[in-house]
Amino acid sequence: MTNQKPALAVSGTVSSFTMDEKTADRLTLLRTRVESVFRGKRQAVELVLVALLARGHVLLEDVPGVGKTTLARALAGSLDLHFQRIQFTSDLLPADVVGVSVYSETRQNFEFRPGPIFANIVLADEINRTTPRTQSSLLEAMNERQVTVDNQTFPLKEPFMVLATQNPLEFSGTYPLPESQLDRFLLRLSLGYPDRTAEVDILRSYGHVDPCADLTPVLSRDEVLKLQEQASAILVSDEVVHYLLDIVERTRKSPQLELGASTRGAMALYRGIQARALLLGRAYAVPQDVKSLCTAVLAHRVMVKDHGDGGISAHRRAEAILEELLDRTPVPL
Amino acid sequence: MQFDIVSKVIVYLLVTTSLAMIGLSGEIPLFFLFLVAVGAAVSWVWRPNPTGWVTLVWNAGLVLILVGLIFQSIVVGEWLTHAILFAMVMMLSKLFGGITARDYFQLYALTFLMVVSSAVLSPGIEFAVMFLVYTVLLTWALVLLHLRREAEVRAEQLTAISSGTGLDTTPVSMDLWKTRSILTPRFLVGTSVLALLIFASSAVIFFIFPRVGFGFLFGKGREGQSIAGFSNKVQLGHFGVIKNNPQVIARVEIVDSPDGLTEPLRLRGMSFDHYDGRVWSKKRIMGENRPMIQGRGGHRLTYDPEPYPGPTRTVVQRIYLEPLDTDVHAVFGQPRIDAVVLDQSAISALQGKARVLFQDTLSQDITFRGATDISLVYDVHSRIIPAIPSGIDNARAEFPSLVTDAYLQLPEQLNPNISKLATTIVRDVGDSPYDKAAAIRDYLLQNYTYSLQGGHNLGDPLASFLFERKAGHCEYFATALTILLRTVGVPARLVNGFFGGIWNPFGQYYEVRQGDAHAWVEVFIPGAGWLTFEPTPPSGALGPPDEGALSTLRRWLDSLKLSWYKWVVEYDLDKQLGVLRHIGQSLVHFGRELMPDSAGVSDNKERRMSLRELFSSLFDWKNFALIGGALVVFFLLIGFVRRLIAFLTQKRRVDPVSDDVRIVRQWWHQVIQLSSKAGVPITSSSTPEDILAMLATADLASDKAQKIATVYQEVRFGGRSLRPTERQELPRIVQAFKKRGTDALRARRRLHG
Repeated sequence: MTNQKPALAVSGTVSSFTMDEKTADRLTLLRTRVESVFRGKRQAVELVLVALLARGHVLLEDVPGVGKTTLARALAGSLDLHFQRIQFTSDLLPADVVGVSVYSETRQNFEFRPGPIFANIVLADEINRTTPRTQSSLLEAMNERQVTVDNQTFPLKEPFMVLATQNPLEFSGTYPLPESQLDRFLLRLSLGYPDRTAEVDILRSYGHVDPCADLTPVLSRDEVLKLQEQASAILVSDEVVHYLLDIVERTRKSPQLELGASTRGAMALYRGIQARALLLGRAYAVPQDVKSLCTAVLAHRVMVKDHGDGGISAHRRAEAILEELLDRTPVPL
Repeated sequence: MQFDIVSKVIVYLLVTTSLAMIGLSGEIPLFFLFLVAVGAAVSWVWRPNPTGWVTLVWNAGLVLILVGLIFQSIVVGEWLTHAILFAMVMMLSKLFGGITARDYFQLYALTFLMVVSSAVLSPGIEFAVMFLVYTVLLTWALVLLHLRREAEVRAEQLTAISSGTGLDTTPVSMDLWKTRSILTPRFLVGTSVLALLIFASSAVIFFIFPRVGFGFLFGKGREGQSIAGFSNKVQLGHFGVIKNNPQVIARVEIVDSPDGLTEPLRLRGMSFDHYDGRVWSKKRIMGENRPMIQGRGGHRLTYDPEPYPGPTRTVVQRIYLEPLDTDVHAVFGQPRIDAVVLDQSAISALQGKARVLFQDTLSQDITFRGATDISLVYDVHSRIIPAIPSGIDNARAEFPSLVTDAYLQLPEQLNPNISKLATTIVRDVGDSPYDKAAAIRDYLLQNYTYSLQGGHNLGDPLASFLFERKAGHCEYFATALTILLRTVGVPARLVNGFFGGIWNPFGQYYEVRQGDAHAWVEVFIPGAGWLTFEPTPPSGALGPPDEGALSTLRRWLDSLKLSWYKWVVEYDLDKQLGVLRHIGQSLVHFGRELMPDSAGVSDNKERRMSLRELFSSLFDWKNFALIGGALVVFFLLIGFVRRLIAFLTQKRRVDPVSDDVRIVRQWWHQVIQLSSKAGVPITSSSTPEDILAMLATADLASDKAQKIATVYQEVRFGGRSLRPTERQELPRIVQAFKKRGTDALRARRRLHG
């Protein structure tokens, strides 16, 4: 990796061993645009944008009313992308998600009617309320970026990103996602309540107005695809890779964890740090990228010892253990 | 030096050392040693790449050799020798095959096995020197082995990681570590010091660890050299060549008299009663096996004292006998021997056979039978009879029939001139046997000269000595005196032994060499028993010359040998107790010096110094200071060793980083150092961003740190090179940051202080 030249480096200007100013400006603009709507949660915005650039999906986990939907709509509205929302209920069928073939009398054949999943940004609301069968149809589509109906394969739109939400406190009549499915999501994050100043601000600004109503797109679809392309070319030096793997190895050796991060988890983290570097206008990844993404990327991929229910408390515990591991892993100097 | 080459060199040095140690023992045939050495040399340059069937044949061959050696050791005995032979073959096999850490470890184990075996076979001081070399080499080798193992494991892990993830990481080359220059001279010096410390501490343990009886590995002694000077028979005319042989065959300490004896050392061995005109031999034996009595200090055998009217004194000689290649061991000692004491190790060396000593009551010779090739240590208690005896009743000339039967024998064809000569000499002396013996001795001393040119006279050697050549060596003189005395009716016998020796001032003992072999005469004097008469002129009684600086060096080395033998090979519970007692006594002395009050106590009381007194003397403040000092030194030593170990084991990461990376790292490191000093809680897990965030809340120049961090990260993780402007600008920024930091620090101190 060391011999690979940073793809975005522009020589000439003194201060920018970064990337071309235009891209950087666009990213900053995108970020501020989303933040202007979804206020007081910079960290969450950053993570969601990282997932977008890394071609990943996000699992938002929080109580209702803290802005999960707003975040998804703000993201979709800031980009010139097609947005769809699917409300998951217990009687939702796979066909309601991916689409269905219907017989057309005029043309005398079956026609495919695409479901709501055929959009760029899909908000899958309360995913744990639906049956495992429907869940898995969504997750399969997320993973393969295509849908197969009646032996016909239909590619999904590009870019494609799922923001799934899950209410951690409701248990009756829910189907929690199994551990093996959880790692289809690049990130799992909870939003939490905004702080007082942010909340005052929200009340005053959006008390009566839809925050996403007058959003204008900042980036076109092609620009998003290009940024995703650029993210995969971000330089990750040997030191950073080893730092990343040091952490992963520690999760495997930790006595508090039943199961450490898998190689897929390491790969996800790798893609994540590239995206974060790009988002912050760097052409290379630094240890801090690893450190700030580690918990969000890995916490839902490890299994904590003595936490059978696998619920939110186990997740909190996993996050705490990972933070502790981070505090003990030396950063390359 | 490269790791691979150094470890190879050290392995071969180890092998060479162990082979040399085996060679020293002299147990393994030289041609076999030579073959193995040649094989080892070949394996240095040529290592075959074994295919399946070659390995098969090779292993089959090894098994065959093993079976053959087992068979031979059953038939011939000497299992140890055969085990060594097999170890050597195995070692050769490993040299040709091995490459991994495990193979190296097995090689070391084999060399160690050989060293242990050679320790059993060769107890000489050369072994100690070689062993020291071996210790140093082995320490090196083990440290290297550890590094090798770590590197192998690490290489495996890296391959596993990079192959499992599918990540585009460059796998660290498996063999990269082999060519790294990890081994600096500092490393070798450090490990040598470590090895010497280990050696020294194990020596301490050796001396203070409780001894239990005798070593179980005994039972195989050194090969004896054939000693020509002393033998069971004395044949006139065959002596002479050995007179110049300086080989030491015994060392004699005089117990309780470290300065030696006032009279010359005389070690009586065996006496002879029968002379056939050419050869002295022993015809009559009247003896009994006498059991030894176990008592203090070992197994003791006491003899009935022969009566002697005058005053005598007793000396105790401790004799360290080299292996003698004779079947019958004479107990050597200054005449007359009263008692012999063998300690436990000597008994076990004799494999129990010497629990009975054989004493010939007729000749007073003491012999024991046992293994012929062992070295022995024993104490001999002797009564020294003055050179000019007193209180002898000259008039008495009655001999016991036992004595006259055995010691008046004459050869059948004795030259008649001989008895005529004897009669002539004693004509004016009178009847006293002592006077007769003295007269003949003086006659020989005055009229004959010493010469080593004995020749091989086929006729009557005695007559030719007395009447033709008038010159000869000690055996001629002794024979002449004995036979002349017998012709005039005085019982006499020829005695064989050693005389003189060299006083070794370094070790305070006598070195008795082959060349000190000597023959003299014992004459029976009624009322006084057998008395020693020395008919040989003084020049002849001396052994080979030993002068000059070289001989001083030789003597010093010889004393080292004896010390090695005494304090290492023969170090047993007795000696250990002695050493501890000595240390204890000097401690008590020391305590007494520190406590002037108790200086007046008598000798007797001092020995029975009570425990309470000892404690009270120990709790003197001076002792406290002393103990404190000793503790400080001890902990300093421990600290030194720990630092040494840390120095040796610290990870020396030799990253192939560019100069630029080194420079920016240095800058960033300075930022970290100063920030830590200013109280910013930086840990090893802090990223630059973490640190910057912490700096922003502290009153430090975080903007400058920000600049440094950016350049640092871009160069370090972004892989770009430093720009010339940055090379000039950044050091200034670093300086500014440091200045700001120290100012802030000072201001804060002023505030708080």
